Amino acid sequence: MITKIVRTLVTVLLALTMTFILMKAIPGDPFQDEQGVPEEVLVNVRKHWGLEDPLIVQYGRFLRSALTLDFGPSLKYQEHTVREIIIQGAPISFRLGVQALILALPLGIFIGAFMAALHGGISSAIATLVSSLGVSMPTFVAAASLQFFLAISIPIFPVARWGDFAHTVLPTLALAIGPAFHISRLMKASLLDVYTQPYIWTARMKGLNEFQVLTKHALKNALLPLLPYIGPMAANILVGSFVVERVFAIPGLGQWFVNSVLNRDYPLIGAMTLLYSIILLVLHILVDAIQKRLDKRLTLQESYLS
Amino acid sequence: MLKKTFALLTLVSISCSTNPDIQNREQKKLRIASAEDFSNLDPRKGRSLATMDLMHLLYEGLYKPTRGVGVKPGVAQEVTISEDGMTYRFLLRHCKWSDGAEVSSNDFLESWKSTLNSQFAAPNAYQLFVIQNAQDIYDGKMAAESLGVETPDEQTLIVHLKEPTQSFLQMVATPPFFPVPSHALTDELLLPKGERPITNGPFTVESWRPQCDMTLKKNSQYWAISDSYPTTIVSTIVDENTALSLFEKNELDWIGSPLSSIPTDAIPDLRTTNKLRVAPAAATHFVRINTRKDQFKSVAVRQTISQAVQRDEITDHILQGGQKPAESLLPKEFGLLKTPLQLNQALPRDVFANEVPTFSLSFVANDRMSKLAQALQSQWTNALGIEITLTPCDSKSLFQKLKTGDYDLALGAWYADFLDPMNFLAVFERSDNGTNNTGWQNSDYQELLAQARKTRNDEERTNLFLKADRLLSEESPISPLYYASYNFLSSKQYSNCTVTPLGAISFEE
Repeated sequence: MITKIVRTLVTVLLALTMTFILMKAIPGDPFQDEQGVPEEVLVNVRKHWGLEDPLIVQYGRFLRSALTLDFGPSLKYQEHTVREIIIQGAPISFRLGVQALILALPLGIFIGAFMAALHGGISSAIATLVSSLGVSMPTFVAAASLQFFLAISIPIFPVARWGDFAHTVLPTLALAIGPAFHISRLMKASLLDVYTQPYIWTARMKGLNEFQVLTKHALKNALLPLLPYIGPMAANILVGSFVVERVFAIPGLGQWFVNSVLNRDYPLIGAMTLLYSIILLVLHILVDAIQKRLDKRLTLQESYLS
Repeated sequence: MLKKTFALLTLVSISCSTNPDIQNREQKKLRIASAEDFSNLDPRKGRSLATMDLMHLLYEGLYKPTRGVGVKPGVAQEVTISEDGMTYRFLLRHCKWSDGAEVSSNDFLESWKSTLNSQFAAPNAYQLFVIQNAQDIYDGKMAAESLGVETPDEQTLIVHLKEPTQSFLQMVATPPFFPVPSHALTDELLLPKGERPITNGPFTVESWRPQCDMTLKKNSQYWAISDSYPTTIVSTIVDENTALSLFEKNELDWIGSPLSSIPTDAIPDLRTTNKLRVAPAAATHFVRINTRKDQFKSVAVRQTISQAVQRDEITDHILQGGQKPAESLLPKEFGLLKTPLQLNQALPRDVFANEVPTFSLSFVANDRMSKLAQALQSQWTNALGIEITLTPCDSKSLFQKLKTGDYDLALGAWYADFLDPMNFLAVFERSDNGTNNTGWQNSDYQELLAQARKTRNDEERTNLFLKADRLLSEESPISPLYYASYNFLSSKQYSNCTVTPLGAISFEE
């Protein structure tokens, strides 16, 4: 466990270092725009924000900010600190993410099981086609079509903006579609694999019907290979999506992954990387633990190897 | 008893409904779409166009812009200008900050002094360099006390300029010259954080959720408050396509300029249905030609490239938002009469020696600029047989390329800070001007502008500007494309309001 935590911390440090190098390498300046500022003024402004210091000093300050979780004010939105911006957006993205996960997981598993059950027939081909469409549809198409059909043509839900539960329905759907179909495809493949196992034959020979075979025997084992995929997927959904938040005018976190870089808002870029890598790694550890709990083979393998 | 109450109720309801017009106005709310959040609430530090617009709603300077070309008195009641045009004596009116404190001459002095403190890191500091000793103070060569500004009493502000500046009244109407509540500043000279900012303009900030929305309330302490201002303004950050949908569902009252834009694909439709509102902007879009590169050292080459552009095709078929083809850098909005420039009409293809050159055209990768770049690409290829490669980039990368001279041709624009020809022409006065970026400078051009600064004769000044403008066209370090316009949609209630040439919403009728 301790080695795992140390490994995680080293990974975060590497992610932060890479981010620092990359963000300093991209051309452009947070304070330069079309209405050019004279060089002497620009230098003073950069000095004020510590951007004229040697890179190693800036790197040290960057790491200290990450350690204390205090990145100071945003360079573009100077009235707000980076922490304020994240505290404002995180709960919103998080809520949408949780809703989308609650929707996507059962839906994906259900469609996957359905496709596996129908395997081989014409209806299976149709189901596969639909799920391929679902997986390959870009989020902006999904979001814009949902908005067009369910808010503008047939005004059931609000067009955009953040408010009550009704405002979260369309963004949740838009966030859930891709992952749900992805899960369904994994689920189908995994189930088909499980169906070839001898214990399934045994179950069938005991006289269980297909539904019982699925729920009592196949499902649990078929779910295991899904777990490693769910970790990163959950991390992606929880931190928000740039596209969905844009289309539905949601003041979440997702926009900052793109906008902080476009604005060359260095402290905000750092904070977003830190947040994302921590969420991702924590979920990884969590998924690992759950997997070990469910699949005794993994623990056995480990003790056998050592 | 019952009868009595009923009678009373009727009376009350009658008295309430006697003037529905006033009632309506009291609840006037403006819901406006914004493309990005405001970066600042401090007039000394604001940079983006959206932030500048907010500053005009929150604060008021000595003078304020009118709907047209001029300025009118704001905090200043009247001004006396000395014979030599170097000293401005402002008499301030008795008006108040939103917290009830009196606006004093010291609020202006403190604002300017802090802007000129290089530690304060105000990017707009250079705009104040017209004031006597301002630049030396900024460079640390003089103490802040030597700034050429006197405040003999609370109501008098005397400003000494570095040199006669005809456009000074226009300049004091812009945010870098706005006052700050000096009685409430923190030790670091910043506005007090956390609470509602203290303002002296028509509005105060009611609430602000970063990257979501901002609510402004009418400032009851504002001296010129009138019914034409809405009681509440809510600006919400929405994507431009979503904003259009919300507008059509009557959930927004104003979309497009100055805080966001109208989707380019929607413009032709909105024009034919007469919904699109258009207001001229004091701004010129152009192509920068990098004179630092060998292939653009020759004036003939630059002229040829500039002349090959079919400007009316661009405004009529590509942009379609009421923009006007540009004949030169200076827009006509300044009342300058111009004789169109007649250069050698036939396009000399042979300026490019024997080989067919390939130039790259850099631009900010958005919808409008991409369409514009494609149109230019085909126009140049057809007219001159040259090859153009398109180089779209994100805005910060483009500014870096411009700064380092790492481009051939680049789309650009100048949106005026204040309405004076000098504000346009001075951009290309020196090659180290942060916006020039073409590497071009010309001693004749500098001489014309220097003379224009000195003269007190309006007609002579205009002539000098025209000469400079013409020289710039002949030299062609830029190829002017079009004079910009503001495109917006507004609900009926706001059909009287418009956008000023400098891009502020004007509520005053």
